[in-house]
Amino acid sequence: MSGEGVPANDAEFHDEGGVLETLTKLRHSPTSLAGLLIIFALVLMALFSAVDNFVFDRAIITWLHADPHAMDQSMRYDDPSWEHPMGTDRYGRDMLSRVIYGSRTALTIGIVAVGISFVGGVIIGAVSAFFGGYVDDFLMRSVEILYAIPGLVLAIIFMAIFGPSIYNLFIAYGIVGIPAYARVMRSEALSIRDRQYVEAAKLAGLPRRTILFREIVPNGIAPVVVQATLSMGGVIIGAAALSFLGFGVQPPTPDWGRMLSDGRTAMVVAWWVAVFPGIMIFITVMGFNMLGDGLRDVMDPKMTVEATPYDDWNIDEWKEKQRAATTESDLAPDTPTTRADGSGPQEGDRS
Amino acid sequence: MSLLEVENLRTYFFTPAGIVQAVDGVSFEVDAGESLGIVGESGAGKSVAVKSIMGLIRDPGRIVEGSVRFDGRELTELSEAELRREIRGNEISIVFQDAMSALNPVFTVGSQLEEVIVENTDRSPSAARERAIELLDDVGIPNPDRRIDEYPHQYSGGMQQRAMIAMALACDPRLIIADEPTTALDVTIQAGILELFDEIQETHDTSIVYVTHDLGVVREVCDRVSVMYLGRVVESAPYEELYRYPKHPYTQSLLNSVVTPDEILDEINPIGGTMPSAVSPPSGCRFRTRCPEAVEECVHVTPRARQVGDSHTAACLLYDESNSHEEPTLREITNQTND
Amino acid sequence: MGVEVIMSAGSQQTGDTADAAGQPLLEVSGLKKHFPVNSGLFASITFDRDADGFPITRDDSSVKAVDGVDFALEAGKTLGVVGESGCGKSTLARTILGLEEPTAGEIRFDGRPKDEIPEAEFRKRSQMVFQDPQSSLNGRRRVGHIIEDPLEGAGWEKARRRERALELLEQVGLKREYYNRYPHEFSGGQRQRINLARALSISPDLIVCDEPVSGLDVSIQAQILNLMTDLQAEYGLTYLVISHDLSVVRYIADRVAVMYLGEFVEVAPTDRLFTHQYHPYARALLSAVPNPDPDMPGVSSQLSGAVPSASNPPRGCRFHTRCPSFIIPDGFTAEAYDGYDRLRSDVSERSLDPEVNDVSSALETYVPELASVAGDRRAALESAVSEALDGEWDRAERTLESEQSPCQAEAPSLETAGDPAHEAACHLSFETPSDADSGSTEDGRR
Repeated sequence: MSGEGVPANDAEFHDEGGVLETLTKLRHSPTSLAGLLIIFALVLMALFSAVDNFVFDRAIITWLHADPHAMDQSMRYDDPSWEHPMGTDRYGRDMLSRVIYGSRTALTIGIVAVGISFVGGVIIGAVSAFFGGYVDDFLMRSVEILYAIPGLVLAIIFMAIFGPSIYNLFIAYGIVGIPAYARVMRSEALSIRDRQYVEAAKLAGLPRRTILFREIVPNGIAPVVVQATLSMGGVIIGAAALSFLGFGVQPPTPDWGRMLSDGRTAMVVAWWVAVFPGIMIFITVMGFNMLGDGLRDVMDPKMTVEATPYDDWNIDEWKEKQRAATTESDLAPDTPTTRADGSGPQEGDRS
Repeated sequence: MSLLEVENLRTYFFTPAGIVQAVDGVSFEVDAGESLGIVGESGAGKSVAVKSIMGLIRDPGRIVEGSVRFDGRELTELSEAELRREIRGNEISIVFQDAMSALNPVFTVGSQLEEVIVENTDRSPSAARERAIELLDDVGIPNPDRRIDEYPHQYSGGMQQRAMIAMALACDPRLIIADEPTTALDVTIQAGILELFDEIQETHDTSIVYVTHDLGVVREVCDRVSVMYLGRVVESAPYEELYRYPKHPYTQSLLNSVVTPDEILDEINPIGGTMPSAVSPPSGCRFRTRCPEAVEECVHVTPRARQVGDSHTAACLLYDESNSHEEPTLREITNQTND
Repeated sequence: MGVEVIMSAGSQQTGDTADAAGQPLLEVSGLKKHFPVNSGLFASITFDRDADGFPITRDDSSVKAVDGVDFALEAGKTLGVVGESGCGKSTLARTILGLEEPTAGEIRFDGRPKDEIPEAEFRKRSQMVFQDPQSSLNGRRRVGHIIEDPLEGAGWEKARRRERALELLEQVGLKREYYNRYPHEFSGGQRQRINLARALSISPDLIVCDEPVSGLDVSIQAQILNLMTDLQAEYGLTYLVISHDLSVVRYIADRVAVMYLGEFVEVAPTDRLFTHQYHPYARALLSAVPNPDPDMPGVSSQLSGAVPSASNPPRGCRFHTRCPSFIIPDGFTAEAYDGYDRLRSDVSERSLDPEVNDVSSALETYVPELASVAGDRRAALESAVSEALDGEWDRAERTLESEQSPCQAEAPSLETAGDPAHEAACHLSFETPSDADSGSTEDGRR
């Protein structure tokens, strides 16, 4: 042991945890890097269209390519061409610029709604499992009632109550998603609740809140993260259905889900109207899934590989003790004194 | 000729973290009717060594070098199908530590046993049932004709292990490999299983390779013992010889640190430290990082097994008169297998 | 039960003052912990078509994991509790520390009833070392932070906590640099050191160790045991060590309690227990431990079968179903007594063998070697069978009961055996202690 060596200074003990460390660890996984790249591109697109829309009133995209809102009846269902790489829709609007603009709503709906479901589900599931008894009964029965009603119908009810707006769409879809997350989290937390480290934390006298969010939730969150990345696509498409019914995204704001459902009817004459938004949704979902996979691995500290330290004992000290023990008492014949024909370590024999 | 001859066996696992040299040049042999104990701490590679014999190494693991000859046949060259058809179950069978997970919970013990019998012999199903009852009786399960129709969860832990042993005996194998079969059991139950192994060896004249970390268990079951440390055999000897005259410093320290209920020791002085990782084992002698006798050469020279007594070998420079050995480097070995 | 077990015979002070040196730190009396077999209202209701009256009954049976345990543990000493898995030793540990609520009985800590001690204070004065080095440390947290947990619970400041954790890492034989590492980077033995550091951090008086070394290699086991004894000497710790391994207990404990099916069957100072065992269970347990020394006797399996279910423990002495020294009443041979036992269980189930139609055929079916049974015993069997055939089951049961072995008749209580500090609960005579190596068979009875 280093004994009274240099007392380790504080700089060595800073917490390297946090987002940055997690992200730097992601570099070892090509899949999640690709996922991160996709999402980064989508976010850039969304940011660009948001800035362009609200600050410059679509001036930049019009200058670059075409105004996503500009209708041109003469160009109805035009084939993809140099001028319109993704063709045009029913009103002759350029699909490419609409697809770019659609990223804004699709991505926000996905991230915000899934975020609400995720946080709500994790808290409800973990609390439910940890406290058990009546708390569990009440929370889980409430969640099951939510589960029993089809998601779309429930979202419509919420929208009817809150009024149709894009923000209420986020909240409605967020609430609709909670049950699935809560159930996954609860089943995970139930198995973790009885682990020895949770009992150790109880015996340490830590408050229940700390035990819940430091011992239980981090260890059970991996399947919930996977659930979140998988449901991203469903939420984007589901929100489209609401928009289609008149709730949520209002025309002419472009939205992939809405474009997809609009284009469905014209599938035979103009495949491009549905296919390109569909591909974008697919890419988004894939991006999140790939990132989710990577995140799950990275969040598991077992992925960091540092060799087990093994040189932390002092042979000389041990020998000293051993010698003392053998001279004091006549120990069993298994002390290292018996040796073949008295040959000891032969130094200088080999080099 | 010995029944089983393992020579210079190397089994490596190619993981993202590096190459785990789990078994690195292990040799031992087992005569017909003999029982060999393989002793070592966890991580010594003893389980991997015996699984390599049966061809049970899965990706990312691979036998990169060495030979396993069973009754003169080279097992490492057999295909998976040949191993399954000709070796596993009928020539060599294996008993694992965790009987509960080795038995399928949705079938009765009897049906699983009968399946093994029908699969590996030409008995009819009804004859197989008779044989199954006989086997359960052999391994000491009370009322076998009734208990054969029970499910694994109705058996206690000790009885599950007995049922596993019955399964291993089903086709009269010539060699039984037991991989820590009693580690999960209470000592009172373990005592019965150990007696059963003794009995099997006597009545069936079966060879046994018994893997364990407990020297007390070895003493009960085994004639000879090989001590493993970090993927290598450091010492081999008949059990009594090993206990009374341990040569290798590791064996000595292992014997020194055993606590038994029969001795009054005020202070045990066990060897310190822990076994290094098999990803980056120490050069030369692998025990040198913890060895009280280590000298400068131990860093550079890999000791080979040397005769130190009557059928007693130890791999330590203390007993090695010859000069330096040429050991293939890791790169050479892995390149070889990639060809 | 009800027999107080004191750590050392010379210090039997009972009083409420906590300052006396001989005052036991931990006193447990009549402790019971029963778990309901079915929890919840709906799960416990069973439908029974054959029942008289209302066909729905409530199943309120319970697993008697700990069923009446008494002991006292003096400060600075170590009590070892040994037994097979399923004997309730882990539940005992968990109940003492408050992870389970006791069903009955009292726990006194430092002279005060545990219920009266504030939770926060009790947590500062008692800690636990867990069995499984894999699952007792949260894999997502740095070991330094894990060690600090009890300090955090006690409200220490962050900087002071870190200072203490670094200090502790060195004390348990690790390095300060490991503070920021994760548990999976350590070997089993090192993880158990971290476990010990966590338990020690708050400087508790009592540390309960549940199988502290059972998952470790032999050489590591010895390291940890040495560390535990060193720490005890340095800090005056009191240990309650739960283990299935007699070797471990012998090495570390001052006093050993052998537990079987929720009860202590033998309690003695360590050295005495390993030389004189009065209870057949303690003897069987010891003879089953393999010893690497070829000069010592090998293992012998004296026990058959597994521990019976704790929800329905055997009547009388709980060990009688597996006991190698079961007392067979005078006038019976072992085989005849087996027949008697079969008859008795059929009578208590109210159905004799269907082939039985008269007294002599019944006796023939149940007790094949009737000739070997003494006259009065035979007469009792005959009358019981005829009563049973007449349908007077209760009377038949009573008649048979009067013939039973003392092992089945009543549960033995802990009584002094040979030495004031040595107690055993067995119907066998304690007068001639049997040495571990003499292996004499006893047929003496009271």
